Amino acid sequence: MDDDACVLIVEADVLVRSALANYLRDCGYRVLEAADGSEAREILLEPAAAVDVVLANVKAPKDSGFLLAVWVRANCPHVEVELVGSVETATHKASEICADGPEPSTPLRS
Amino acid sequence: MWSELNMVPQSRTQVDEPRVLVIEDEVLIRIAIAEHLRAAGLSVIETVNADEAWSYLKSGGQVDLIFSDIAMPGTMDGLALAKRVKEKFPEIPIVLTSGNAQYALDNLIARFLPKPYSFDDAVKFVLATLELDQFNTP
Repeated sequence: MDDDACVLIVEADVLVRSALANYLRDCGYRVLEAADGSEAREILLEPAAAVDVVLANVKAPKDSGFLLAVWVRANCPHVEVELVGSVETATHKASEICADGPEPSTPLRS
Repeated sequence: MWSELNMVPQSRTQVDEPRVLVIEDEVLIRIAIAEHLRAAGLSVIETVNADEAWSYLKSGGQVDLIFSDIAMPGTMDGLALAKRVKEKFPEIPIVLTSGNAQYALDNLIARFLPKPYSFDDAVKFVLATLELDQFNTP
């Protein structure tokens, strides 16, 4: 991942979303947040967003993470999609993304 | 949603920078103002509407300032949220934004930033409010 690598988190629960976002920001990523698939698509269509990875809850409201993944494949084929279905899988996937990420700009919080 | 989740926000003791809760339903505006505030050295929590923000605050999420749009979908708008916050969390300063300047005249419960605002001006407004609040705290 380059230094400006960007992760888009799609999660309706603000507590989960902000916790994952803070974690990945501490890992050195630029992180964008969407509460549902509609917001996610709006972000992905914005060229300046330059999203590299979408980390989405399969149970995202308005349309499921599966539908979002299909849309991303059709409209943003360069963007990787990671679907997660529980907090455990989300945190596990976030830690994998973190390990693969840029150097943290600040020390990780304990 | 993972509604069964029992996750709590990180403790404020773990972060040094002031934390701003941004409430804006227009996603591109929310991202832009959040990024500008982060670039100014602030920690930012993004919420989509007042209901989500209230859920965050009720869960124990601590913030140093609330930056909220007024007109939003959901069960309450930014004004209703500001009134609740003033009752339950009177120590948190609030900045409300709107394209309708009449709100500034009718509601004196919060500082007011008229829309459209430049992101640089919004950051200055937030930083000034945080500084004022610091001076007002005994």
